[in-house]
Amino acid sequence: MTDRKFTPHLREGLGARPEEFARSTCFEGGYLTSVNAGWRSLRPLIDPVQCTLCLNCYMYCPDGTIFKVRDGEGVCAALAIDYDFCKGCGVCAKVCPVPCIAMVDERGDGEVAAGISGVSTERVLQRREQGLMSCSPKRGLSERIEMSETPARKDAEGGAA
Amino acid sequence: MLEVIWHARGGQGAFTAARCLGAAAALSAGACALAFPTFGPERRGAPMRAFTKIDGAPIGDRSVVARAGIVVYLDETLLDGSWDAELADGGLMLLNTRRAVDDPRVVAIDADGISAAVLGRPIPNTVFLGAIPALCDAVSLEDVHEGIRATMPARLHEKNVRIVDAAFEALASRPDLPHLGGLGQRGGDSGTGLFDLAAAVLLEGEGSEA
Amino acid sequence: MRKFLSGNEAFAEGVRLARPQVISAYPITPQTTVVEALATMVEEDSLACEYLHVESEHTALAAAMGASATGARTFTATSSQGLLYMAECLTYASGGRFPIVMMNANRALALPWNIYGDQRDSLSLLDHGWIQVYAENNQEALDLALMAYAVAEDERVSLPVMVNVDGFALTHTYESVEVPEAQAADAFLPPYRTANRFDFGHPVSIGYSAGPEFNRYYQYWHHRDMLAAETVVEEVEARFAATCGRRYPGLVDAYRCGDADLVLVTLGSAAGIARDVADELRAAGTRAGVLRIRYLRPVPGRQLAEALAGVAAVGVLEKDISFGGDGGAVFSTVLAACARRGVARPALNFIGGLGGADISRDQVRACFADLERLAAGQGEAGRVVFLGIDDEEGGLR
Repeated sequence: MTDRKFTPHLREGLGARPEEFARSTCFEGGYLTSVNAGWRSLRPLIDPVQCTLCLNCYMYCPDGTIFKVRDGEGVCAALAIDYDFCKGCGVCAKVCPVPCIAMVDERGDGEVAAGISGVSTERVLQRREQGLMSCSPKRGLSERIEMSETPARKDAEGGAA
Repeated sequence: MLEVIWHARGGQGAFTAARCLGAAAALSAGACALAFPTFGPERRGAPMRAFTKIDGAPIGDRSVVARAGIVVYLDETLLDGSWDAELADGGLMLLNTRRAVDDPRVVAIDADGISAAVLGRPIPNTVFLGAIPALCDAVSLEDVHEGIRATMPARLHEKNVRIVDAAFEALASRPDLPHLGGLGQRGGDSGTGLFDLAAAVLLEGEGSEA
Repeated sequence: MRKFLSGNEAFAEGVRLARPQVISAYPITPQTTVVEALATMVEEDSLACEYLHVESEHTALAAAMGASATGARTFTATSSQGLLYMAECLTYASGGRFPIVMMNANRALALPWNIYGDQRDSLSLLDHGWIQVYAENNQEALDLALMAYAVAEDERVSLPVMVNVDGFALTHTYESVEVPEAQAADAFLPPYRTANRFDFGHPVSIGYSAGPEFNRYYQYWHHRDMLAAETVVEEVEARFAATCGRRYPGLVDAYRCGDADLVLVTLGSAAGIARDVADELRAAGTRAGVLRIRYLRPVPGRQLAEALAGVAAVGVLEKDISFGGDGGAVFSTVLAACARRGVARPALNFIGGLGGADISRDQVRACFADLERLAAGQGEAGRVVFLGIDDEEGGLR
């Protein structure tokens, strides 16, 4: 089937055995589709160095494809995207406050698609140079990450709330 | 029978084009036609397909086209390595692309470019409506004009006719343009055995004219 | 005037020509574009009627009944779960003898939830007292919109009619149709006149109850009047041919059945592919035919028995199943009609197209091949075969 990659289908092996799953309409959650990603023409890339772990993208992703990568102590160390389900809608890039998510051509040309989310590599570098990155990307969830255009205000609040 | 498969993403107008081609064949070319999309929930950007079937007799087979005489890709990002599984022997694939394609079965058309030149915006679906009459005899350019008038709101007629004409001319002026004969099948023989039989049956058989 | 329309758009054209006075509308896939098209016609003043937005299908039919009880020609449309939701109103409408016309876009029933076309919805409700007719293509759907009112409103019938149009295969598929001129439609269908209505000048009790003493008489005459509808259908179709130029063949549409050895009985749009395959077989020397049932209620019992009396094997291809029963509703109907009239031919039931699955050319060829084997004395008569499961293709025997 030519459109196999574009339509969700049962996880491998299960599709061969309807006599097992078709006896009721109740089944273990998350199993029924293995891939639903052929809809993308752009894919999001999170820059892990710039990422402040604010979790905006994680919260806003309409398909819940962004997940936490935890370190040895169970602390969230980075965010990653499940490209099996990401549909390339660009909401994550739009809501990223850094911003450090770029939308690139799915065909892998590597070109950053400007104008889709307002994110560009130059802008990310600019903010870094201007010292507007206020924290290390490796903080855990227990520390609230504050992003601010005015370093003075941040000092007044003591940096953590 | 000429069968056309249109590949696009939701919102790119593949079904409008499929319908327009069907209307061109049914209302102007005096043929019978069916046009339908892949059925089900959709959203902008979701891959979908649309189908047009054109024949000299009423079409009883309403199932999805498995192998088509013409396969159209309005969006290049939908193309994958197994695209020719949908192409009938002697069929042609029409691809919206700027790059040159070295495959005699593929007709590369810069549909975005042609429509942008005429309209200032890329509307690739109508371009293919102009390409198809240049590549086969199932419908003429005038038939397509009629299809546009029957399918689209009046305020869009003039623009779409201009795109169709520009596309037709762009293709007709290409050297060594491939051609599907008769009702679209290359070589002129449209599988006439079954069609002739059906026609004969319609004249002498039982049953309603419905 | 020739147009290239979807089944829903074509049906709306037919409804407009029928000049309903009240439309009650509630959307459901794959019917929604019918009521949307009608709403546009009302907005544009090309259809003059009261258009009610109701909040459910149950209300849609209840409102249609209320309107019909004032003597108005009414229309509503539904599908699948919507049809089931209004199911209790179906017997109110039919027992009340209100000649409502309702379009049902045939669609699968939940669970599992499914929006695609099969015929379980209407076929599970054959006993609810409505006349049921099945369109094969968009032209027939359009024409039935008009003919249904003529049949329903005839005094000898006075029953609601459900016009079944295959979901997606017809409702959302575009093909060319001839839309009759308004004058032709008006010549065919006069305004609705009835005594079965509220009237301040002649007060009536309407929609009342009937206990054990008299109840059975209502059911008896309901049944008899539905059977009598066959004659009315023939008269209506003759009048339609004279005014609008197309001739329909009555309760069944028999294709090459006269001398057939193998006949496949089916409903709706599946008949198209069945006839293609029958033609293939005829060309190869096998006498195959297709019997398309148009009206399933009233049952075309006599026509079924006559058409099948001389065949070597009969198959019934349908898009429904009666769970725990002896096959699908159409199979039961065909066997009963034959048995009652002393016809008993080897038969097979083919259950296909469930949940919107395509019925393919190969599957239909396999059905005829099974019939051929049965006619030659091989295989088990009476078997119920689920296409794509316990046939060769499915391999789950």
